[in-house]
Amino acid sequence: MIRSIAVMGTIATVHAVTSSSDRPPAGEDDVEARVEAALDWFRRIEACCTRFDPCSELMQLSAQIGAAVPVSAMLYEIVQFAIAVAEDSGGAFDPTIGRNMETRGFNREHRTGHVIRTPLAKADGVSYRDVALDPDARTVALRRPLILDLGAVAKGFAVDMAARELRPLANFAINAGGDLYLGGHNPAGAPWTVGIRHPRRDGALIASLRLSDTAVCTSGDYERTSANSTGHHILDPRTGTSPDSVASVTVVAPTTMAADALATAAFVLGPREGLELLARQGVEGLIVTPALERFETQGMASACVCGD
Amino acid sequence: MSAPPRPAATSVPAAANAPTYDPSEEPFEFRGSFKKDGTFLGWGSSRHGDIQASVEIRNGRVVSAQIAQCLTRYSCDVIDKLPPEVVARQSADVDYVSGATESADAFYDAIVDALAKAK
Repeated sequence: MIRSIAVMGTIATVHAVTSSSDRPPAGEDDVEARVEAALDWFRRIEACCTRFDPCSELMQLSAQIGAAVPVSAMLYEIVQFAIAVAEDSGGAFDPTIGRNMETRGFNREHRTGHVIRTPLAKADGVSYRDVALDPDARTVALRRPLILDLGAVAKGFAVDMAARELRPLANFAINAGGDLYLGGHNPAGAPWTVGIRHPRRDGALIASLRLSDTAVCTSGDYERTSANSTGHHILDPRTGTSPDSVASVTVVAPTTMAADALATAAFVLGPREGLELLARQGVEGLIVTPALERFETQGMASACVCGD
Repeated sequence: MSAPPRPAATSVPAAANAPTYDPSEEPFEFRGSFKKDGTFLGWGSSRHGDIQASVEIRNGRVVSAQIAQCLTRYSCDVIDKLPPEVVARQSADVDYVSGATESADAFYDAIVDALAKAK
């Protein structure tokens, strides 16, 4: 059973492999209910974390500068993860956006079809260091006027929550705009085959992977640009410029949230430092440069079906 | 994915994958979240040009999504495999592809535009 919805600026697809001849792991009604519950996570997390609705929990938080604001367990989890990656990458990944970017027209509702992604520009010098977390009280305090862009992390978190919903079914796949989680086996009973988009040739693959019970995400310089920007959408938050030493980064990790954030961070850090970050975090990755040189972690080679 | 055995009951959850459509058997018995049924059109654009999507809603659910018009500089072949994914799986030599495509973004925008009209 496969269902897709348009959500979080992408198309989210949930694919539950149903058994053809063997006894299914659960009744068909259960499959249906779990697929719907999995998709509901996308809607729920978007409602919580969207920057485009002033009533979202995220924007309510951004309206209270300087105060320690109690937040839901879900929002706390997402924010604290984003800040942890920011710290570990020395700010190469940074979820904070200066508020004056918002006042310059980067705040249009994406559901109208006119999508503008806010660049992570440090226009007024804010950074992740301006976010204070208190795990005991479960509060978030923004020390300066800023807005958190949790887009990619929230999307990864939604994939992970959807995966948790589907785990009893064993064999399933979740695709949120190329951010993937693969559970168990594909309909042919083999590990899922995942192609990695070629960063320079539309429609071609640069490698393919055999994966099971893991997440994979790719950040590329071909991704959607904002309407009035000339560069690609990944900026180095520390400098405000577009990194040019990497064409794409693919990360295979236990969670989609980690795979997505670490792919972005490694993209900004470049091949050498990026690979170090991935190794330090215990995840696998493939970094492709604009000249199509490949840098990969040791474990990546075993999952990679090369020459495809 | 091979088609699961068709249950005798009225609900046929895997109808999207059924090889043929049997009009005597409504595939989706449960009501979806869209208020209006019918076919709706929407536009999305990318650097390479515009894409129009058509979405069919039945019983409040998306039952099909297609490229209606492709006004991009290149052909829409790149995203030919996407529309079925809105209701069914993406099929190719690989099960899935990691890394979003720009044409796919434009198609998404067109779908969202079309779905907004069914609300």
